[in-house]
Amino acid sequence: MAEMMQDTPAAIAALPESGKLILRADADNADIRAAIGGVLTAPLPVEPLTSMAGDKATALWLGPDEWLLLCAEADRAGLQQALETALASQHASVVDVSDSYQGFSVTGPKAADLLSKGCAIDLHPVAFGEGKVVRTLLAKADITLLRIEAGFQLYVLRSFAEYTRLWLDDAGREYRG
Amino acid sequence: MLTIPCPWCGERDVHEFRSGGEAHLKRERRADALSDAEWADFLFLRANPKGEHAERWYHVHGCRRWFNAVRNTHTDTILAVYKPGEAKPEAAQ
Amino acid sequence: MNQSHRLPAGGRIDRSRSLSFTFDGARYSGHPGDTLASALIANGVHLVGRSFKYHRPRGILTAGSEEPNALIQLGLGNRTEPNIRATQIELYDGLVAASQNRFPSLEFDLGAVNDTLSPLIPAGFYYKTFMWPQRGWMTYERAIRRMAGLGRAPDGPDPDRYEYRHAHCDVLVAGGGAAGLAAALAAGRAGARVIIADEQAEMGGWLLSEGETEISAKPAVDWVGKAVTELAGMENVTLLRRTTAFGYYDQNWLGLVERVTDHLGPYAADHLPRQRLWQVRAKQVVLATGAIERPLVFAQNDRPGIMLAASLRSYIARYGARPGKALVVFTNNDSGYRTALVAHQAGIGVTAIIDTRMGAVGPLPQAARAAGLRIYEGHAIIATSGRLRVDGVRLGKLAASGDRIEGSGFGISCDLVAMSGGWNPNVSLFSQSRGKLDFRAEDGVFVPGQSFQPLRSAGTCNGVLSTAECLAEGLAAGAEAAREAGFANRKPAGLKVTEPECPAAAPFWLAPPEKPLARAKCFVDFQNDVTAADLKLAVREGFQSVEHVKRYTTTGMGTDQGRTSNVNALAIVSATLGQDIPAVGTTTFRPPYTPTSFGAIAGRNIGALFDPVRRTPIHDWHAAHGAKFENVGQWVRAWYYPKPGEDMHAAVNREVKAARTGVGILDASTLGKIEVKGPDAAEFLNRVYTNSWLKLGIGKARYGLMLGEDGMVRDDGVTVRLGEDRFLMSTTTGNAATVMTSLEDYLQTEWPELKVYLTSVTEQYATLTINGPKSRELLAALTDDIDTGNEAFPHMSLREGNVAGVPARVIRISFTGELSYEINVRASQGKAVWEALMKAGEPFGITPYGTEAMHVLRAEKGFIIVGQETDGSMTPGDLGMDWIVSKVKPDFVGKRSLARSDTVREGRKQLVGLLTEDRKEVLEEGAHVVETVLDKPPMAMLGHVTSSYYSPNLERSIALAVLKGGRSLIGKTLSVPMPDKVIRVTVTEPVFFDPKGERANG
Ligand SMILES: [Zn+2]
Repeated sequence: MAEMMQDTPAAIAALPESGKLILRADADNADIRAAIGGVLTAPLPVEPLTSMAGDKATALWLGPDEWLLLCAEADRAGLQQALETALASQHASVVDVSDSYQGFSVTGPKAADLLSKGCAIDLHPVAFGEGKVVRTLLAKADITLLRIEAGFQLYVLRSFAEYTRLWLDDAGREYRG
Repeated sequence: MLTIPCPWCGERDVHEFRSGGEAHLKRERRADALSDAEWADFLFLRANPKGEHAERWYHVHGCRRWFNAVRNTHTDTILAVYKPGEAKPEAAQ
Repeated sequence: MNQSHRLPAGGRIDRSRSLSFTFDGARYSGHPGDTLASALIANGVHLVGRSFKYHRPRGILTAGSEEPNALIQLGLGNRTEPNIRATQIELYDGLVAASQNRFPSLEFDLGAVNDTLSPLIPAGFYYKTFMWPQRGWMTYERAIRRMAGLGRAPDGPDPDRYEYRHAHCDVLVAGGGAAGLAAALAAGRAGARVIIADEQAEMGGWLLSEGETEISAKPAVDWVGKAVTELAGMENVTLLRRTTAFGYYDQNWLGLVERVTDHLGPYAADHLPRQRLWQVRAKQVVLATGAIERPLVFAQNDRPGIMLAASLRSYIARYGARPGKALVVFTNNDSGYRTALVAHQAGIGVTAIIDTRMGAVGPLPQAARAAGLRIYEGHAIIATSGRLRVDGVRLGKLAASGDRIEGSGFGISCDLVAMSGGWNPNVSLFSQSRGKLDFRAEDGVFVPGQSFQPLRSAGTCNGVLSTAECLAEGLAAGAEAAREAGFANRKPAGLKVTEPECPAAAPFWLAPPEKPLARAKCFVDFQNDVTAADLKLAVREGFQSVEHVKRYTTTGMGTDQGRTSNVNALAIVSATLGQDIPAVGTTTFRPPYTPTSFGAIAGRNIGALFDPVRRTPIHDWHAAHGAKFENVGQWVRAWYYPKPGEDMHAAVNREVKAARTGVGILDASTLGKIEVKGPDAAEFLNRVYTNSWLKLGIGKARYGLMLGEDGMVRDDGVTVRLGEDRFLMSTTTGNAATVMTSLEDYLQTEWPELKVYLTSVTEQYATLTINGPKSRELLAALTDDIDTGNEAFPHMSLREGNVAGVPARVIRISFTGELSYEINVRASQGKAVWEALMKAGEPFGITPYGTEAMHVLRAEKGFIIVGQETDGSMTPGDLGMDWIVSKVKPDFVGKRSLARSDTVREGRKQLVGLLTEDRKEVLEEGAHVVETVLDKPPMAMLGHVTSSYYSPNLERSIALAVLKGGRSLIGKTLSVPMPDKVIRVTVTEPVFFDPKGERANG
């Protein structure tokens, strides 16, 4: 399998069902940061366009007071509960959006080339290293794009998943020979 | 094509933004006290300068933050960007 | 055919392989490395087209993308493409090409009568002749277009694929000749990310055609090979061959088109795109776009066999072709001699070199003399002859003034004329970048002046002429560009170059013809058939601005943008006006540099990828059950569900009846949903809705109307209170994103003190609406933890529990006036819950209904749809909805505007109902309503029909309309004039069914 993946210049796959939460809170508040960091077991990424992986969840910076938290489907309810408890006395919002988004992975040596057919962001490793995250456009779909070791993960609204899948497959045709 | 430096995300294509028109308009919460003419001025009348113009932009396909930009409407270049509530930067005045 | 005009050796063609192709049906052969133009020349074919206006026979003028004459129809079927330059078509086996703009054949073209009539078709002919009567233009235009059109577009869809590519780099180099390669090397060695693009199949530019030039004591092509190998080996360099930088836009954003498989024709592999549109953001740009040889303007300078001198050299040296046997060179500078010498060495007879100057003393003229070539100094060509191919020139001695001939002319036979009027720097991209052009008087050229973007020009596009200068400028420009982009580097070492010396020379604008100018046909713009006489006529008729002259004569207005003609035209206009060239002005170049296919611009935004199609979580069920769909923005919604034999009318009637008598089910998942969270959430809603929200109980729902600051209705929907500090707001399907943007705007910029967070959950939930008197029983059948009793679960409230075993938020609200529940479940469970409802609903005759039935049901109740009854100019009062506008709140968005003189005035359009006299007559939506019908429009209009349906429950048509002073018209009879009849209508209240609203509370 691993060898097969290496032979594929750009492999496209839908990510399995997973937990996704939108967290909104004031990142300037140290108490709030500490409370969230405690639950995530990693500091909340407050630097724009960064992400931070904890034991059970990865936090993606979406905006100065907004994060997408990715976790296993099994941990979804527990994570939401834990955050709501930790933030009970604070102004914050934790909303389950697991069904709102569909994830895809695009991996392989041509992954950046493939995405660059529809994404105006500079995806070269010098400009877009592992862990970097942007919300931007891929062709006509809003995406949240995350660089991972093997390539990229991207998340689109559920109703854009079909369009995005079609688009990715069509864009990848050039590399399938 | 224009790029706009989002105060949070950095330089991005103009496609990712939505324009919100003239900046620094003050919405009066006790507008009952305003005359029709004063209210109409707030509603309808906008500066349309050739040159520097402070305007509102929304990074709709990015961080979803509203911010202000000083743009030269003649050369279509962005001279400064700043966050809501901040004063128009000196350099761009 | 046997390539009769191929030289025995030389050139960069692969003679070991032959490629077969056809031109106008005749079969020829060529070699890999040939262009269609070089292959035609190698087969002795010079006549390749007919000119645009006069249908004059035309040949191949150039060897590059500036070609104005040799425009070809390439390929067959839906792949055929018109107006392709033969000089840019790489030859492939099986290529099919045809000439254009001729009938019935290229050799015998009926349209050529225009040439005989040319004195009658001067500049501005069309403007003068077809102006009257004005309406006649439509007819004339069709005929003119048929006569004048060039190629033919295919009828069917394009079978090829086209791609986009976004790219970022530190240094973009446009042009891969000597200067471009040097620049890319310098920038690449410094570590910068470099993209170098060249429009030809091979990098090297003119170096590929210059056998005499040596770099570092080796042939120039060796240096090209080494440079390309080095660049290809650098990970930070992208080499793009067959790629034209066609557009230079703001902020160093450039458009490039890469012809990925054009050189393979229809035989390319299926998975590859035909072309790729690159959108490049470059920190720095180096323009190395070269120079274009300037034609000389003389009498009948357009015959096949007359070409640019350096292009002739290219055909000989690069392509090993022999364009003729007897050459006459006509030049005003030393490079013409260079061509004569190259031709002479290749065995082509050089009959004469005609130099407009006296006593040229450079090394090249001396070498020509030493070779025994016949030179006419101070002479000019004053006429040419030959019908389909030049067969002779006449020349005369120029007076010292250069504008007339002394004595009588004499003839020389030839079959080839090479002309050189000097070199124009190719400043197209520089001009597109908004750069200013400076005029250099000594050789009459425009060179790059002040630039307004981070770019530099290098090489012949910057006005230098020698290869040595090109390399030096290229190295320096590449190094500087890299430095500016943040890559420190040392000054690159220079390169030693040996080359013939070819200094710039004074320009020579117009050779005096033997015949009067008006009949001499001294062509300036070959593509658009504009002569020196046309330009002079335009000036005589009063056109002073070069832009006006351009439009009047059409000079420079062809697809080549006058690349070979603009400077000559400008000079002739200036001379006629008696002004300096810079005073008359220059022309601005615009994108695209060369014609760019629509396919490349459209990319993959076609078919299913044209626009996203958004489907609900239950879509597949609708499709499987025969639903017809309608588009609502990007969403696709079930419209109605026809049973076998039913038309739309029958299906909708059945669905509407079922929703009022039994139970219907609607997929409402597309409604916008926003979670509003925070201690100030209620206060926030209080400010953005017109009614009051502070006291809404937890678990209660309320309808809200949202206005703009101008007081006009923008959106509506039901919001429920989930907790003390949590609300779930719903918006209309179409406005979901707009409302979110506007709400964030208020929170971020206007009321930052409010502690509220918004999160869109539109797609988190599937929304299933069950509707009708049996809906309570249906809900009860599927839940064990929600008490569905009327008291326990009243209208306008929310209960959370399990429905069909799935956690659900159930909201009892109604958009139909019936008992109705909106069941929200996680999107991934939507389809399963829908199916469970369908199954459990069987005993009640559950009927799925689509958006059309939903519209009828709400119209029966007079419920508005934002965007249908409203158009951004309707206040709540106009809609009869004053009841929802708080009189006590100090502020809400739009409040002040409701007291403006314009919003409180009499005679505003108001929402009313309309009933037709004929119960079966359904009005057209958008139809105008008038009080008095006149014979024909205009008629004073009271307003228009906003919604109109047949109501099966009322067994008659119903309509909603907005009419001036509408409420005062209730009871009146008005008219709706249609093209074929006038429909009489009575104005009514806008509620047609259950006006007391009792059913929803049942
Ligand atoms: Zn941003």
